[in-house]
Amino acid sequence: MDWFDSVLLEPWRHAYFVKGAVGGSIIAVTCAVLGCYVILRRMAFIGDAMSHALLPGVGIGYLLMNALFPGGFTAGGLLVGAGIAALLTSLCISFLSHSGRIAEDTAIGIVYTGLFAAGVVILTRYQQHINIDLNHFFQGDIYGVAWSDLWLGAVVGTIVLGLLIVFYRHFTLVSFDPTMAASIGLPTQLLHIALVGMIALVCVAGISMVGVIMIVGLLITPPALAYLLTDHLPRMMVYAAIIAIVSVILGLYFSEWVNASGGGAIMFMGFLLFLVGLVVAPRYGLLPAWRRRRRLVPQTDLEDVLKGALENEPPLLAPGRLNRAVRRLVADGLLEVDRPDTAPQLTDVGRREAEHILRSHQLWEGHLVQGGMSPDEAHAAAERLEHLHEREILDQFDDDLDHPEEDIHGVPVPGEREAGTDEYPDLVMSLLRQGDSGRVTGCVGDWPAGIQAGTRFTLEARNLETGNWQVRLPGEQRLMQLAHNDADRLKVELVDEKTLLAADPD
Amino acid sequence: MKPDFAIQVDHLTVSYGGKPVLVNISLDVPAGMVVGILGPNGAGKSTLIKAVMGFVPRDFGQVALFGKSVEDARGHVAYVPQRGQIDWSFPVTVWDVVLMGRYMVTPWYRSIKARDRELALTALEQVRMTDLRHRQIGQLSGGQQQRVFMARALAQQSPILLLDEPFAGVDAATERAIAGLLKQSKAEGKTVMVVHHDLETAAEFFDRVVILNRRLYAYGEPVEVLQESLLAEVYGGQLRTFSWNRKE
Ligand SMILES: Nc1ncnc2c1ncn2[C@@H]1O[C@H](COP(=O)(O)OP(=O)(O)OP(=O)(O)O)[C@@H](O)[C@H]1O
Ligand SMILES: [Mg+2]
Repeated sequence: MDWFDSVLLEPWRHAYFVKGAVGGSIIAVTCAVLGCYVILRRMAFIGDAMSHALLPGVGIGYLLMNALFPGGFTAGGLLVGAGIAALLTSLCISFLSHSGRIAEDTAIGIVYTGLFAAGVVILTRYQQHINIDLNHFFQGDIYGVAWSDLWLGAVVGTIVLGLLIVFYRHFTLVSFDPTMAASIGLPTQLLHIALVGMIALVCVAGISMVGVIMIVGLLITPPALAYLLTDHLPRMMVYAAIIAIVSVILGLYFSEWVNASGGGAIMFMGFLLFLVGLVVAPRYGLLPAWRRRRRLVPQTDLEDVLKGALENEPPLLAPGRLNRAVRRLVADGLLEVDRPDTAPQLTDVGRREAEHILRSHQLWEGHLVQGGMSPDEAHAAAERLEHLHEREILDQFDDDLDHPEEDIHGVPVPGEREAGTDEYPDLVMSLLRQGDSGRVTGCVGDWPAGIQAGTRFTLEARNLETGNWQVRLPGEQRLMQLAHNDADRLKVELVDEKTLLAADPD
Repeated sequence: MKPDFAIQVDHLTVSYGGKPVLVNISLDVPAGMVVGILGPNGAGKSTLIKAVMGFVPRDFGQVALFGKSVEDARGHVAYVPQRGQIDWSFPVTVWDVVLMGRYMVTPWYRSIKARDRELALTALEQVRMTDLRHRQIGQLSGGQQQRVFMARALAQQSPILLLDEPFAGVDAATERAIAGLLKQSKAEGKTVMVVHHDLETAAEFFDRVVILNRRLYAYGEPVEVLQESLLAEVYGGQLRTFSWNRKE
């Protein structure tokens, strides 16, 4: 408890710490929310430029105010000077980049280094008149926050956040699709200028507290981290604001403990948070991506294990891969392990999957043999081709082979029972097997006599001589005979035999 | 200008950095017509669409919508951008994008009205994307992305629809769906301009066809315009098969 008090609570008893925390948070939150647009519009470099280009403005503003009100009020002058410098910067950039050959990023680089250099010249030339040092410009003074800084921060924060909230739709649309924004009459140029102006405003308000570099960092890093965490813009803004506040508080503690510059400590914490986020962010982080990749058991392994379990033949896989595949299948509910020492068993879902793979193997085999390949060759080829089990192609093979009930080795071929998915809305009668019951839902072309939509049926064994499908209709003695062509055209849905009987009033 | 033309392009020339991309284009589109714009890559098709929206500066010439200059006719057009022009990782969902179709009628000080949300929802239903409305747009297939922007354009309920390659990279089902929406828009009296690449389907989809390669090579009914010799000239040997010809 002592530790808690002395380390965590103690700093809050000092006004400088509280002011630093409040001032820093105001600036950081404003930067973070605005920064979401900065990174989405790829304006990070403009933010960087803007913050540096303020130097001559600050310098000249200071000189001017000193000349007008000797020794007195300077904050206003700094503000006006900085504002003018920001305006000048954006005008110069826009002029240069529209003048022809010079690209925008080049223009930004030229303008801001030029203005910054001018600022350095002014500051060093009039050193004795100007009470600003470059150090302060770069790293600010979070522990020297004055009431005027707080007020300035609060006013700027209110203006910027207010504009961003009120014109949320406008800024979002113009960032996402400027062409459409223009076509519905949004003032795209004005909105862009407004964003640049807001960047300038937060720079002006924040520089004395956290310094230039930190302002740029606060504009970019918290939104960038938030962007890793969510796909939803309003949420991204909220996350960025929270991250910004956490960076400020952590940074202040950190600078207390190690006695370092506050602005630097804040941004350093922001950077560390970003790194942590980069690694662990659920969807876009490095670690989850790596784990997803590692967990990725080859689909072919999974299928080999399933088919092996169905045929009671261990698949030819290295023990490590086999284990990983089994674990994965158990986790996915396709296999279950009763006791550790027994072989894993297929669940119902697993059995269906396994039968699908087996069916694929058998039909590929049949198809290849039909095309003239020797059975041995076909078997080996089907071991690989069975993993291409798109249903459409399998159903075609099945049809070509006249829907065989047994494969070339005499092993029964499972029927196809999947239907009702987006990909395969329909199941046809010829894909079913003896014992399946269902209901007819439709027919392509003319209905075979005696069958209509809603007719319930149970399939018996195929007629050995004619190859016809033999269908038992409820309440009828005689088996109905359906030729291959008819069985292909009848759309059906599977119904459990018991429910079929229970639902049948006759 | 005669207001019975929905789109009038009059001696339009547009350039980028001194390079003329559209040269002296004149073209009148009567209201209620579906027009296809064909031409090789870099022909200025997207630029023409943008000029009709008033989005690119004109070196010369005029564009008028229903007799009014584009600048005065804001909101007459709904637009489906070419796929490559969208930042697909932008944190917006399908629903956010479709709602953008109602931004124009929503004043800045208001939130979006229930009626506008309903219109957006209807548009989403028309393209059958309601189930995916909470997805971020980057997590959709190409055809689904195309449909989202179609829905946005429909939600705008504008009399003019401009579509930049809506059929690019979509499967047969989506192609049919989009073609259906074109028909429906026409039935509702809308004027539609579509940038298109497939000569084979052009005659089927469009009432009129524009052949463009910086200059306007032809504008008229598909049967008149889709002449092999002309296409060979415009595409300059890029095109080897004219399967649309074999159809007859
Ligand atoms: N913003 C731009 N700045 C400079 N040049 C551009 C710009 N946009 C397009 N261009 C150039 O103008 C020409 C026409 O471009 P446009 O996008 O209109 O072609 P397009 O017919 O739509 O081609 P595609 O079939 O590839 O979409 C191209 O040479 C392109 O490089
Ligand atoms: Mg284009």
